[in-house]
Amino acid sequence: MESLRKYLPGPADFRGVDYWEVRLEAEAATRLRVKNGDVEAITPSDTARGNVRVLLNGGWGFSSFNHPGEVKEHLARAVACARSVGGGDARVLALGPTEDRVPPRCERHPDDVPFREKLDTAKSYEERIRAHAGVVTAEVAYEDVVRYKIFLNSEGRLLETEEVVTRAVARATGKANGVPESHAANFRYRAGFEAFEALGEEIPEMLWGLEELLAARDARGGTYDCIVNPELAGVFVHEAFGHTSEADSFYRDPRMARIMRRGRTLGSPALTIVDDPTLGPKHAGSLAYDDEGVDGRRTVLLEEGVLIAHLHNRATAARLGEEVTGNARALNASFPPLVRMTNTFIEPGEATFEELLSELGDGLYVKDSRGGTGGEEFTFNARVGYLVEGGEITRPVKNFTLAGNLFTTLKNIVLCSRGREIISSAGGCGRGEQVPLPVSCGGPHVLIKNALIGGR
Amino acid sequence: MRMAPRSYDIYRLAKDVTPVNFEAGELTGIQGKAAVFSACRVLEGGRAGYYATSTLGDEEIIRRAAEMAPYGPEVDIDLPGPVELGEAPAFSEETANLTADDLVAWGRRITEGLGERLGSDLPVNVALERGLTRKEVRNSEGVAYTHVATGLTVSAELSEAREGDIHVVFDLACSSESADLDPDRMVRYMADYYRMGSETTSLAKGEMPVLLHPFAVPQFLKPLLVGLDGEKVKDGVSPLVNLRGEQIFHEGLTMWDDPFLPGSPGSAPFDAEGVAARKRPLLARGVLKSFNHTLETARATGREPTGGARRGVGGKPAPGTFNLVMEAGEAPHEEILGSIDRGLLLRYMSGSGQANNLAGEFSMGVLAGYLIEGGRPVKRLKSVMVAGNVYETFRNVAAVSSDRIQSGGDGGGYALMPYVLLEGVAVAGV
Repeated sequence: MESLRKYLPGPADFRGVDYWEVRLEAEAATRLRVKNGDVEAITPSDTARGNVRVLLNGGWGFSSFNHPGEVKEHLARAVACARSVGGGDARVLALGPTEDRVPPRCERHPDDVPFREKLDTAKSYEERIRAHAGVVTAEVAYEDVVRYKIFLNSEGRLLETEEVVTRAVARATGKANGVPESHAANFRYRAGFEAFEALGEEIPEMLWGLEELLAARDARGGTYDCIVNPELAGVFVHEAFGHTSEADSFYRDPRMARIMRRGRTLGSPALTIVDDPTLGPKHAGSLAYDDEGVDGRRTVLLEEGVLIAHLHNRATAARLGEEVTGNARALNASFPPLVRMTNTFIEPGEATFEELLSELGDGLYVKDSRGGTGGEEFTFNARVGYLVEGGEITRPVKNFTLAGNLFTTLKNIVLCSRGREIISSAGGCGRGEQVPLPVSCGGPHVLIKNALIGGR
Repeated sequence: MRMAPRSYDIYRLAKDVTPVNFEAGELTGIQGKAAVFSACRVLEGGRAGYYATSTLGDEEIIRRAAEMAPYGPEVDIDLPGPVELGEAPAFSEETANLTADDLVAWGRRITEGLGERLGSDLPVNVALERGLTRKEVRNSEGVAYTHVATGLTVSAELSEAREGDIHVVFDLACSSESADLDPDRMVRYMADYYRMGSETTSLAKGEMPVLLHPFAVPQFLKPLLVGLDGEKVKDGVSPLVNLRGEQIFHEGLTMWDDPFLPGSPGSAPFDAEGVAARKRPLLARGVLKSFNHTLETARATGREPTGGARRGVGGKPAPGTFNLVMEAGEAPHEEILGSIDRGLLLRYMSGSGQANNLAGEFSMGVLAGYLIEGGRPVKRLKSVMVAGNVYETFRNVAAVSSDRIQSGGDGGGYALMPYVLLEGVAVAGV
């Protein structure tokens, strides 16, 4: 980190600029993939990035680069960009100076683990998967990223962070009637090699999940009452509600701001939704500071159905006259920060799972997600589901999508179970070209009335 | 395994991009983004070592890739030698010389044009991006290729939020030639779609004809593109493995990978492995003609590399295409639209590629779609889904339009697509 510090410009370099910030980072990554008994790829990388962002007369300028030695030239480019905007009404919510150093949170730092051990662990998992009857493709991918970041802004906030993010996918593919189906145990944590060592324990359940999928039949499309599991509840809360809560999507749109005004009842009283970056290393969205140097904090967005807060960066908070929330995040220092989620989840309720089933009566129990897209009209693909008949779980079904309207669905979530699980999957959040941003999401089991199921 | 002396290749990509952003009609930011990375592969002792970097020089990156080779995959390929390359003009002086002020002027034409047509209180976001991309491939066999491309991308979105309904109209255009893009056309187009969508409807479950807008065609074709992936063929999981030369789609569909498409920022005379680009059919009258192969997947499956390989910071070369181009049909899309008594016009979907791609399945929500009645779009669809299997759905093609639109294709590539009319697609609504 010391080596990046020497490149930092100072206040004298930014005369006449209202607000400025500089982010520099150096990153080393190890990636490997083992498939069907062979090493498929080993692709390490070494990357440096940086940017300068300035606010001048209410207009933003930004310039990004790779070599930290070029920071001065890009500082000039960022200022020139802001001048070309020619004035505007943007401002930022100001904070005081601070200095902090944030160490990584890991038990076994990837730098201390021999490469051979990473490869051998992946190979041993792949062998176990391949040995399972009915598996046609076994694949294990591992990635560790060590990133040193330094942030300095015009307020005198100087933040140095070392992040360690470990990600892995252990995937099995089988065939039912000649049609391939696959299932994976996977994670992305702000943790070290210990997370990969623990993945082995999840392989038996993953293989069972593949068999569940192979046994399932196609679901029929239509409107169903559904229980969704914590993973799918998390995808809903992230994709549909979370993205709509990002204030940069509506802060200049008075109509949408009216719909998203605080104090409005948007959901059923069963529903409380939180974004919280302070949850710890097993949640990829955890962070001490966001990419505008704002400390991460728990934000209750929806409390018993009532909207009480939005997710903000400094500019959206200033414009709407609200508090910053520490949600300005960039994929890396090549990009300006956008308002993004961290760890987002539904708070648990009081019901048992059996009570949910009995309340459901006839419908679908939907488990896990293959991905989703959000906003007011959301869609996510379910991995597998079960028909529920008279409160009893019966046949497994697959190949269907859950879709709906955010505002209708928030009101149709009528019951939440006890306990919650927050999933920090190997995928990540996408917004524009900044994908995959590490996040996690989850909740309890949730009962949704009148959900639209797309299937054949 | 043959023991070969050390050989290597290096792919280097340098981008310089100027994005300009308007939020709710106001110019709020101008950016400059410079990014470079190099990806290296060293072949030694029958194995491949890879390394990627933004910072290291050639000698160091080759050394590091060689260090990884003893652990790396067994790879038995010959890197290509230099050949005469085709012409893939993707550079325009005019685009390269566009300034931030020029982009701002374009943006204003769109925000002000929409304001004049639809009233100034509808928030319009516009993102404009001028890009300059320099690709280089060098290898130990004497290849030293460089290709420079320009690109201009303009996207615009207007939204009207009401209780229970957010009406979003979106448009996107891109070209290597700024002269190809017409902001006034974008304004007319968006204003037309906005008016078309003022009333909403959902649908009962059933089957109906669906006219795909060119934007939606690559979204529907995602499972096909996964099936064409040489990696999936190598693993034996592509459903198309044994179907080369077989009829898999309707005979009205012919699709190429065309590296020489004029006006596309994706056109290039070589790929990320230094394989010379060639125009090749993927589908000819619905018959499967070719998969997408890198040097490595081609070797493993006994095929020729096809060009179109991609390489990023995080990986080894992956199979891909330059420009997906579907051949035009006979009738203009207005005529096809006019022939539909009751059906759907689908412009943009959510959830593409998230169903079981290897099985050909799709199950998507409609983000921008319209109910067609009496030959014209009358209402905007709300809470509607479509589902099916591409290998069944694309056998029932009723028409392909004579007009085509260039857009972003699969996985960072580009596409030139017509409108496609499909018969009997399963739809469901609330």
